[in-house]
Amino acid sequence: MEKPNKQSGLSIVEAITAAAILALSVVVFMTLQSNQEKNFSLLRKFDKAAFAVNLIFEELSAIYNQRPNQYGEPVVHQNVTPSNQLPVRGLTSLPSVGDQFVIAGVPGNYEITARTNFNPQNISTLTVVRVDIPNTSPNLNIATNAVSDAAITFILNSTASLNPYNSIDLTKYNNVAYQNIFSGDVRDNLIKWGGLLNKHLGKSFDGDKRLLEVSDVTVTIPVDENNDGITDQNAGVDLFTSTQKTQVIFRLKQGSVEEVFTGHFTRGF
Amino acid sequence: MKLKKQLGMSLAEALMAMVISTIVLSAAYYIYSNFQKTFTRQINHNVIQQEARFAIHSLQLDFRMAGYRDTNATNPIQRGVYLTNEIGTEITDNSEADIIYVCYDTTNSANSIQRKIIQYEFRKAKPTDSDKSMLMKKIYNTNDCVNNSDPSEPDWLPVAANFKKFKIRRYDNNVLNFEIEMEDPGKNIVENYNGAAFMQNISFAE
Repeated sequence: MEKPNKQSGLSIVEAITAAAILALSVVVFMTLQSNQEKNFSLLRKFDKAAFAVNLIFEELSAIYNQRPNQYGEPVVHQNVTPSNQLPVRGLTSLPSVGDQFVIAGVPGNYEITARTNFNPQNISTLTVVRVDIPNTSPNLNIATNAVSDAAITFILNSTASLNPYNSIDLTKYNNVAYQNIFSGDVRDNLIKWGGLLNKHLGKSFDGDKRLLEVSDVTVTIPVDENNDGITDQNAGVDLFTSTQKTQVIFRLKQGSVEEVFTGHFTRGF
Repeated sequence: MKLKKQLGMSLAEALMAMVISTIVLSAAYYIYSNFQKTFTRQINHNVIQQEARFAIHSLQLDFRMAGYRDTNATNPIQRGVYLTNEIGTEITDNSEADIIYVCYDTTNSANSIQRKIIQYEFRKAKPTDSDKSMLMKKIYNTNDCVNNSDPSEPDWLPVAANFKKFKIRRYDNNVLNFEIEMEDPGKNIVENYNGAAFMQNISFAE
């Protein structure tokens, strides 16, 4: 009798095992790819959010160096010779100590260190110091004669401050109770900036951060008095100086990704 | 007579092998195709991101200078920044504008002051195109920030491609906000970016 032909194909168990391995591989691959897509998507959101943070920093810069109050139409009251005293008329209110101005026809930027109240002729005498040259310079008085009626233009008000933005939480931009803690521009900017980040990053969840932190810091910067882009040297050694700046840190956390953006703001032009 | 032993596959075996190979190849193709799509999407994203980055950088450079007057310039800056809609009507509040002109002093190669107006506009890449897709700029020489001081009209210069939208708003007089929307060459991805420029010289120019 002829021996039956031996079965050489797959058994049902082998076939199912092979199919299961194949299915598992596809599932693992799809999961990995889906995670990769999510990560790419989050990174793309962060790219756009980084532009939004840049926008926030640019607007903070405008707030810090806001359009200065001119206090009326101030002019030099009478001809003055170089000193640290400047009589001014045409003011509708007294400028603040720390305000900076320029005088038509006179080189330099000047900061008010003291001022008198208005006399009966509405004239205030400002005590000033020149601030566009190093404060170690031997003469910080008004550089040249200032003529009567020379226009005074305020370039900086001392009142501009970023402190109201400290600890502002942009994840709560649409929470009315949180909005009502603030007023004016701060409230408007909370809503505007929070909305912008929401547009780019999506809704925030527990643990996510969109937080502004404002502080004063001292930073070391290279000295370049002639503004030629090359650090000044003394005996071949680069010179550095310390300066006060306002530092803004923006903490952005969405899911597992966290970025910290830092900006330094200097008052003045 | 003894029959010759069958050595090949049966029809059922062949069909089964074909089915299994088809499934395996389909899975492999699916995986490859997904990789390819992801790769292409990443490249397209990089293209529009690069264009967006350059456009924002270029816009910020010019907008920040708006209203800058050289200390040796005799004429005042009459109009540091000027916004209009598409048909040229001036926008004076913080509503959306389509065209922007900024004016500031530069120094030319002869080391003398050259005042310039820079106009930015979202335009068609070629006149024959059906849609606008390019951010372009025009640079005029001027004395007063209002009129072109050269007899000829300057050419449009391309700034960035793959644009879908360009809108500008002016806030608080010295801040410009702009929104750009980019679309990849395959027209599959649309991304939106926001930028701002603080025009510190405007405080004194106007």
